[in-house]
This record gives sequence, structure tokens and C-alpha cells, in this order.
Amino acid sequence: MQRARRIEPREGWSGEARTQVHVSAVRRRLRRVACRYFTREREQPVFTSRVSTGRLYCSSMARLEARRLRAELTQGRSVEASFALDAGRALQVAGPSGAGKTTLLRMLCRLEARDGGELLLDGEPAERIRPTRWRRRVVYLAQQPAMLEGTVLDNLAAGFLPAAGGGRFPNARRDEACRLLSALGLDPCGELLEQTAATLSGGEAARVALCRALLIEPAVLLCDEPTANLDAGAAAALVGLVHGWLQDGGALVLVAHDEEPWRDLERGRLELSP
Amino acid sequence: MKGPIPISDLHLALSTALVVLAGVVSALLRLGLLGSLLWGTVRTFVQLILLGYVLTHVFAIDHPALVLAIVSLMCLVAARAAVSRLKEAPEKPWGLAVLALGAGTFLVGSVVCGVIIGGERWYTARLVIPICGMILGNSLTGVSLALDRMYGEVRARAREVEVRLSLGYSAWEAIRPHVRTALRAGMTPIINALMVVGLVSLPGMMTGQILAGAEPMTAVRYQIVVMLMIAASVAIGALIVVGLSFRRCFTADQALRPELRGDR
Repeated sequence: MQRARRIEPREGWSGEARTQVHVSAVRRRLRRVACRYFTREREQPVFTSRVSTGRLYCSSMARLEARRLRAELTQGRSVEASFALDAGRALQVAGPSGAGKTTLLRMLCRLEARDGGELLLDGEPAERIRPTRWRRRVVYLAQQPAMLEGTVLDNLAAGFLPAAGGGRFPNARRDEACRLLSALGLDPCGELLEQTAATLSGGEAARVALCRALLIEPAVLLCDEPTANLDAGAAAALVGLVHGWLQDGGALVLVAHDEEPWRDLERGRLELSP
Repeated sequence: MKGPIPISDLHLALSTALVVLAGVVSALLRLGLLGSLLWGTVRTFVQLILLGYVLTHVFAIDHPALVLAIVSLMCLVAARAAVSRLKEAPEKPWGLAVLALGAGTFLVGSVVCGVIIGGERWYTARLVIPICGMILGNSLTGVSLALDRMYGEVRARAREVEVRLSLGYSAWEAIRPHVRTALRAGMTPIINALMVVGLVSLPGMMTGQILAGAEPMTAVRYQIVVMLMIAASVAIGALIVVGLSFRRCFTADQALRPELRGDR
């Protein structure tokens, strides 16, 4: 029951896809591999104005597309961007400070209103997808991620409260959380999980926030300076984890001033003019 | 039962001597309150004497429609007062305040006047107007505190609200912890009053009845009813106003409004 509820049908699925939702873990993994195969097979450039007609049937994969997405900034400036991002791909948004990188990211997860243009997920316009559902698929990680009240475990489970339509935080998820935390160089076996989240350092909080986001299995991750508070080792661990996640079919939109940790990551580049 | 001891014009004028005392303190310490104190004294005199005349006439006419009209007017004025001092709100939700105060007053007021105190002519002005006045006076504080606190909390914790939103929480779920804090803030004064009533403070209504010659036990019974009705109406008012205005913190897309996220 737990699993069936977690991978409930997404909006816009066709009827035949709907029948394929209740699959076992093995079949789900197989499907994920197949998805990866197909996204490679189509060989679409990272940026394209073409709209893909193929639909992805994996619950946590999607194609994010922005068409002339525009926001007015302060002092009469504005930011406009068009791109299409397939599952498994990464896109770096670059540009000088104040060019609207953060605003663009916030528009993509609909925390910021857009002043023009279209936003599509799997070819479906944003207007037809409820914001709550959209934000579970396109998750935004702020530069200084806020910790919610309670322990680190409470924070990791935050995406699974009934409030977010997720059900209980199951033990399997807890193990997954521990695995992610140790991949990021944090020690979950110690007292970390029971620690009050407000007492975490900036770097620890950034990594816990990444875990919190990955646990809800988003299709697209929007990271604003994820390595800004980390030392070289921790940054490399984070990039490694994100890399693995991309290979599993995730998609990444990245803002990073310091490109050194990301140098080995194959990624497209979107240059914002000042 | 003897009536209240009347205060003559001369003695009323003497009471202004008391405010002079406060004025001297203010002038000596340069608190800058002298003007406000004088203006407040004048307003107290004028407003209450006018009220005396109005009530005399209203009690003489004593028509239900007139009573209803006066109570409605009181609601409007109270709602204006409740929203006028909001510091944190992006706009003044005064329509919602009218609704919240009106609903609380009419609900609690009709129970108190109609059922608890009751009597043949339960809708008489002499009963309804003072009761509704007490309800409104207290619930406007509760409504105002709750609203201000809610907007203040959301502003101060905008980043947490946005984290919840980006984990897929609905607007209501994202703001719920802050709504709870706001309701607590609105309810705190009346809870405190319930705790210390009779120990620290002798409430005005009871004092008035005792001065007017009522038996202390009768006055106490009235006071208990009054305290409980105030608690109920504060809770109803705060709940309605916060429950209906939380949506205004968000855009149509269930994102936090730009005015409310100062830091990020």
C-alpha cells in the first residue's frame, strides 16, 4: 500500500501508463534502466526549441522545458531564458551577479511568478499541473537552505508527512537517507539524525537539505550554489552523488560560481546577460 | 437595593486633577506625551458624554432594529481599529476583520443574551449593547494580535515556509505552524485574564455592579459569564480572521508573496 501510494499516477499520464503504476521494485528498476536507454537513444541536444513527443513513463523522470520564460527584475532589468532539459542531463545557468540566476531557478519551481513565457513538464504546461505536485517533481534548493524545526531526522522526513501527500516516513526511506548522508561525508550512525537541525553548520545544513530533496525523488533538481559552503572534499562527494543521481535519470539545473568541483560533469550551459 | 452614588459636575471636574498628575510626570521626564494626554482627556469626556446621551435615547426607543444597527456599526468601527495598527500586513484585511468580529459577536452575543441571561425581552438595548460592546472590545484585540503575529511570523520565517512549499506542501500546510503561533498570540491576553481574574484584577463590570449596589454573588455570576463569553468570541474571531487571511500570504500559484519574503 505504502509503495502504491508513493508512486501514484502523475497528472497527464495516458491511460495505459496509469495501469503500469503498481509495479514491483524490480520492474521499477528495469523501467528506470529502459528510460535511461531511451533518453540516450533519442540523442537530443540539451537545448532545443523542439518539443519531444515521446513520453517518459518513469515516475521520477521528466523533461523540463522553458519557452521565453521571462521575469522582470529590479531597476528595469529582466531575465529571459529558453531551454529544454531531458532526464539525465545537467544545465548550468551562468552569468554575473544580479543577472537573475536565482530568479530563474525560483521561476522553474514556481516559487516566483513569471512575467511571460511558458513552462512545461513532459510537454504539459505548468498551468495544468497543481503547484504542489509540480514542486514535488521540480525541487528547488536555495543557496542557504533553511532547516525546519526539530531534529535532522524530522527534516529528512519532512517531505513524507501527510501534509506533502507522502504518507509515513518508512524505514526503507530512513536507510536510504543514511546511505545518502554517508555518501555526502556525514556520519548518520552517530548522533546526527537526532541532532537539532538548527545547530547544524552551514555546510552540514546544505548537505542535509540535498538529502531532504533527493528523498522525495524529484524529476528535476534546481541547485543554487550547492557547494558554496563546502570544503573541497565535501564538494567532491556532493558532485559525485549528484552525478550518480543524473545517471539514474534525474535532471539538474545548476547555479555555481565556483566551477572547479563540477569540471568533470557533462553539462549544458545557459549564459544570462547582465 | 440602593442605586449608584451620583457624581456631581464639580466632582467630575475634580477628576481632571488626577490627569494633571500624569501630565506633570510626562512634562518633567520629557516623554512627549503631554499633547496626547490632553487630547485623550478631551476625547474621553466628549465621547463618553455623547455616548451617555445616545444610550439614553436608544434605551428610550428600545427597538430591535435600532439595536441591530448599533451593534453592526460597532462591528465596523471595531474592525477598523483592529486592522489600523497592523504593522506587518501588506494590506489591511478589514473586510475579513468585519466578518470575523461580526460572526463572533453575533454568535456569542445571541447565546449570552438569548439563552444564558435571557428573560422576556432578551433583545432589549440595555442588555444587548453593553454585552456586545464587551465582546467586541476584547475580540478586536485578539483579532489584531493574531493577524499581526501571523504576518510577522511568515515574514521572519519566509525561508522555512518556502522550504515546505518546495517539498510540495500546500499553502495551508506550509504556513500551519505559524498560524498556530498566531492563534496562541491572539488568545494569550484572555487566557492570562482568566488566570488572574479576582486575584490580581477586579474586572470593571463586576466593580460597576458592586458600586451600583448589587450583591457580590450576583455580580460574580455575571462576571463569570462575561469572562467565558469573551474567551469564546476571541477564539472565534481570531480563528476566522487567520483562517481566511492566510491565503493572502500566497499568490495564485501557492507561492509566498514577494512582499512577505524580505530575506533570502
